[in-house]
Amino acid sequence: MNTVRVLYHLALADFLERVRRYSFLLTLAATVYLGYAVIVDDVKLRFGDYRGVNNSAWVGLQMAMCATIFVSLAGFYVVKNTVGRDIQTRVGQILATTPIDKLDYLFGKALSNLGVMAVIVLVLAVAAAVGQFWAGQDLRVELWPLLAPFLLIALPALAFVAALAVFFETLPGLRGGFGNVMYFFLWVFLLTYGPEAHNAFADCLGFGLLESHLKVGLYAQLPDYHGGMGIGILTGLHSYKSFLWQGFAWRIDLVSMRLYWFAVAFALILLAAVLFDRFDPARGFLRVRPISAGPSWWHHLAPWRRRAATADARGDGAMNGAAARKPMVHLSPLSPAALRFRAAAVLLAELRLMLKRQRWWWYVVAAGLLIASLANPAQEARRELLPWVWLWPILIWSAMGTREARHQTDELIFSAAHSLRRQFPAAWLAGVIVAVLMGSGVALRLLLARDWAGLLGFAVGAVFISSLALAMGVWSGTGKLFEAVYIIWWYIGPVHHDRNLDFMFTSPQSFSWGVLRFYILAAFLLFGIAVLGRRRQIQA
Amino acid sequence: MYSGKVWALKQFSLELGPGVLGLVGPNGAGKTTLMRILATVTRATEGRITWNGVDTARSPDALSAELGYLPQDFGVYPNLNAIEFLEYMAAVRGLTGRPARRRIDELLEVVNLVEARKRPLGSFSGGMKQRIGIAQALLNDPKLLIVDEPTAGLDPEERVHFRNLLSELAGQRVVILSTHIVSDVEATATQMAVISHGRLVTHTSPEALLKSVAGKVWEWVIPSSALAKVKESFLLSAATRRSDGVHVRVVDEKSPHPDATPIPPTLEDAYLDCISAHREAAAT
Repeated sequence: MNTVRVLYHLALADFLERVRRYSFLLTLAATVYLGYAVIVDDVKLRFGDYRGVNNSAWVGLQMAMCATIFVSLAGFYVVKNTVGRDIQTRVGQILATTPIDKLDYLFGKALSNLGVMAVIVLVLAVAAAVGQFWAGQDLRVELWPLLAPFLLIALPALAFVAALAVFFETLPGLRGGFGNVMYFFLWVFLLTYGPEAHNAFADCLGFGLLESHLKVGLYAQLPDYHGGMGIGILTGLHSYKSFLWQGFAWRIDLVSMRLYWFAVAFALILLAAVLFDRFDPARGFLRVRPISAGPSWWHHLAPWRRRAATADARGDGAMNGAAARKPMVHLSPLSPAALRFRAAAVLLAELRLMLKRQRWWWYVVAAGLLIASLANPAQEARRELLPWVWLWPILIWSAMGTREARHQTDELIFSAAHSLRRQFPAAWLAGVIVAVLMGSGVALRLLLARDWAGLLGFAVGAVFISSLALAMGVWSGTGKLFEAVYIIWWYIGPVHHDRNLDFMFTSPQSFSWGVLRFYILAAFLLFGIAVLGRRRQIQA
Repeated sequence: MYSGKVWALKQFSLELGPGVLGLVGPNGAGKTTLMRILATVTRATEGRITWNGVDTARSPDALSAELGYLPQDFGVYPNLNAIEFLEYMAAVRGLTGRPARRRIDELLEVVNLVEARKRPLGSFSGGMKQRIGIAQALLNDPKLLIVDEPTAGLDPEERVHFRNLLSELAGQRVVILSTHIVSDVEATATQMAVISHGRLVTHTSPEALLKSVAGKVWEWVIPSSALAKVKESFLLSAATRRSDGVHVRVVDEKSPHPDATPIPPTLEDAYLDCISAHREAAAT
């Protein structure tokens, strides 16, 4: 009983903390928009050339599938900060001194995650009912056919995602931006592998199960039926034929297959509890590298650095005791001429700040990508390598605009003279330079091939990425938004060469003056939005 | 004013010249809000602050070019070492090249971090981070130095060292020192401002504040069992347990007990008397 009460209060406090944030309101706004898009048929579900009559079963199914896709992706990024927040606010250190055990703590956090995502699903369930009236084809609202897909398709999948978010947060390597990027690839895998595997126990989102059972009904009703299931923004004036679908007969075996994901979620939390360090980085199963008091890796590269490092390592001991005995050091006055702003110095400082936090292997991979770009012909480097070259620094860009708040240096920097005019553009330009340096192999290849259009696209892409990162960082206060948006955009645009979304202009086919103009405008607009956001922060 | 119509500061007027102003007041009095407004980090909803006649809300850069600021809560970039962090802050504050390097070297000596200058800041203790904060506040040789709880986390020797530094710096500049530690103010301040509930209670010199409680501080010895009664009845400034009983120190107009003897007041006695009088006046 006591455990239940602890879980209840833990999950409730965490849930309330999150739903009272502005960011949750924005998430709800996006949810309402998605609901609207489904209601007005901008987003739709189809089977070959067929769509269901808009009765409770069909609108419920269609909305539940959209909810599952949307919330399993966006919801993960929304909820994946619950343990991180306890670390950042240092509430975790207090919790670590309480009798609550790791499993209870993480289970409470997963419940809160599921609660937040369930609210989003609830909004979409209400939207489904509204959608049935909007369509006006069948006005009889049948609750079970309407709600069953939400309860048995969406919720089990989201329970898994809720547990996975907690699991990611317990592993130091997956807690930050790297985990955010990795989840996207995992999500793509879940979305595509599940239906293809024809195995309900590997089908987390439940789409394989839905497709196979719906097709049985379709074949029975429509012997000429052929084609696969599709869901998304299906544009064009394609006319669909209708079929009547009355809903699933939820047999016990089907229900069990879905409830199985609750068990998987619980197993994941159990595993997370084993790995969780309980806010003691020295105790975790997979320990994060603490920032060493010793010299950094590049101090070992040169003898003079080694000597300095040895002197440093001797250092701290003499400090405290000597303080009072030491003669007073007098500060020399600064001449007014010394205080002359130099843009290059701020730019270099920003660049150093960006690059200094990277480990040695990051540079090894970056160098590998650079060499590969130089070793390939221009068009291959542009088409196949540039997307990966500009994925690698994603965590550098996602820190832009958020670093000051994250490390609590905002008051120090914002109180400096002309911070908005001096430091902020330097930070933006440093982001552009990172893109140019990373892509310099591709750029050189394009230059040698005299592909001026490709070079122009490359330059616009570099400027656009930095502007997007800065705007999203400043306004969201976290790198997560950029990481999530960028990776999705990257996957659809540059990787799958969607012409309008390919901001890297990875092929001559994706290059058009109209799209180029759009990204130039977007880059300047985003930079302007970022400036407004920073101005708001400075004047807060 | 905060949202919800709560005034952080109200009817607050203060004029400052060179020297150290000790800003003291109870928790939630508005000290940090005042510091943030003065440092142009927060914009006041009403009122005006001028620096050499220039409105800081309209032209914040006129002040921030001459400002050194150490906030109460601040962070550092954990992967940079002390030199790199100070070089970054110097560049942001418009100080670069040889003068910046010379200034950073001097500051690292002043805050006693020369030996640790190449260690990543992420490995620094709380006190060492505080000293880095002090160093960055002094980078641009500020004419106005605002320090909010600067000695929090410093060991006693470093605290003494910092107090001496503040006194030395105060010569030709304005230093505003906000603290809960009255002994810091006692050691450094040339002026004092006591604030409570967002209002200025008094702006005076430490000597004048001490004079206001001269002959009003009493000490006598009581048994432990009588301590609660004394706390209820008088403004208790200190209670020290010794072998002969509890030595209580009380601020009162009249002798509180036949055994009480008048003793020289401290700034802490004067501060408590000042705050207590303000609370009583606000209650009536």
